[in-house]
Amino acid sequence: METRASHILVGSFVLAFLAGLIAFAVWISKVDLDAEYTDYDIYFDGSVSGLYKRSIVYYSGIPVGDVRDITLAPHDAQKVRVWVRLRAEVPVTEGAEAKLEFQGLTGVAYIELKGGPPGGAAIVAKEGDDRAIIPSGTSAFQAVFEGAPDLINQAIVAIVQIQKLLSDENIQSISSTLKNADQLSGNLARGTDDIEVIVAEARQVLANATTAADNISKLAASGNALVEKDGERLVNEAVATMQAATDMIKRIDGLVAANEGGITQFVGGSLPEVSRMIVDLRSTAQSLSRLMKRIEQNPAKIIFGTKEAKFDLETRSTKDGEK
Amino acid sequence: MTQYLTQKLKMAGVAASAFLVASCGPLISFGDDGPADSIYTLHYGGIVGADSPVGPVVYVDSPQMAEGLDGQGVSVRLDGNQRTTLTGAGWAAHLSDLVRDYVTLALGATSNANMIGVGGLDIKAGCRLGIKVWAMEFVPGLISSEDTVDVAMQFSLVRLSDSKLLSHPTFSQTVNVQSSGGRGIVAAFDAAMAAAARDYSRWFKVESKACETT
Repeated sequence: METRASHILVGSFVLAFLAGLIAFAVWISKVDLDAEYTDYDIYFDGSVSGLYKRSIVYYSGIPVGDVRDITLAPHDAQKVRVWVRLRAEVPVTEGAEAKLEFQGLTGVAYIELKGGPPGGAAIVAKEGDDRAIIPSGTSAFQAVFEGAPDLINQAIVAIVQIQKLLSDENIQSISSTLKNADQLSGNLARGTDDIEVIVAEARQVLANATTAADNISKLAASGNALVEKDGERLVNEAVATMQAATDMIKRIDGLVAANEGGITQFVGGSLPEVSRMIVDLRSTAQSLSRLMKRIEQNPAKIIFGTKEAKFDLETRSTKDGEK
Repeated sequence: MTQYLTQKLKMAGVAASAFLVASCGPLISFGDDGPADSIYTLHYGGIVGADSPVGPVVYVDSPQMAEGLDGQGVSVRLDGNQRTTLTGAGWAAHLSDLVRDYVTLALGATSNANMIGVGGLDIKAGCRLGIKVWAMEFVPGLISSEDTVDVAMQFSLVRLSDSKLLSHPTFSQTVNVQSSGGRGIVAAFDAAMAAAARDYSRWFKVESKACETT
């Protein structure tokens, strides 16, 4: 007997399976069926190497869209037009700016959006434009890449200059300079002790000067006290001494007046005689000194005379003279 | 008894000491007497000067004798710078005293100055006359007829009021010994001194005017 299948039941099961399969696919692909998007055009100056369709567009680091198409600008072949599609809630207002950035060193590019000030008017498409246009800016990488050739040229020039600077002659000069600096530092190090000694001596001199200043100050103070307290007594004693000296001079003057003749004779006559006597005494002293030396050397010669060969007139020759 | 013995011992000690001293006599010699030397002096043959109350007073200083000249021996100069004295002859006094007296007499006689010698220290003088005797010696030749005597003296006339050296000349004479023996030599010394005196008297007559005292 043939099994009779229920076509309605099988058909229902297949449809349910397909519906489940679609729901699973939608869930898996995270398709946001309710999402709304807004398209924009971005015009970049120069190359957009590394940027492809489906490249991600970030807004402050948050992925908010992707690149839909990349073409040359319709009216300016120097520029590149990038069509991007962003989520509608992304606030693309006046002042917003798009930059081309790169992920690490892989060369994969993306677009980074920076929003305008809060409360700004949304960017809208103008007449004649297909979509609203987000202004573009130059990223740090672009600046590096654009400036790289000049930078390299300048680096080459700098290297050439450095090579000139580091010529053998300059190296020798630098070496000599360093040697001199080393010698100077060595001398300074060796002279440190002397400097310390000089500083110590200077300190000692200053200390002595300070002490001397203090002593002078004390001396001045004591001098003031001396003048104030003892000055009067000293002046009185000095006056008395001067009076005594005056009296003595008067007495001497009277004595001289009374004996003027004798004193005049002494000064005029006796002094030259004394002078002559001194000359004689000097001569006598010289003779005595000579005699004493002879006595010291040979006393017998003084007593018994010198044994010398005397000259004999008869024989006209010398003989050992003995008295 | 003891005192007697002590006294005897003392006397014996004194006698022994006297004997010992007497025994030392031959050991001490004072030289033998020998023949006596002939003693001479310098004799100025001129006239002794008279008193001159207007002339300057000049004090004659004791002469300074060159080495070997001072003393009472008659100095002899031999070859080879040998110097000795004459045997059997001598001066009556130190030669410096003889020269001083001679100069004093000679200048006093030939000038109007009052020359003051020994013992004149208390007299106010206008000048002092210093004398340096460089030579006063007998110079024997190869034969007696070639014997000579040399006399050389340097004078220093100093004005005492300002101690100024007025003049400083040297006078020298050489005279042949005419006769042999000590007499002949001394006669030659006298002749040489007289010749020198004539020279320095002329000099002194002129220079002593600066010694006039006011």
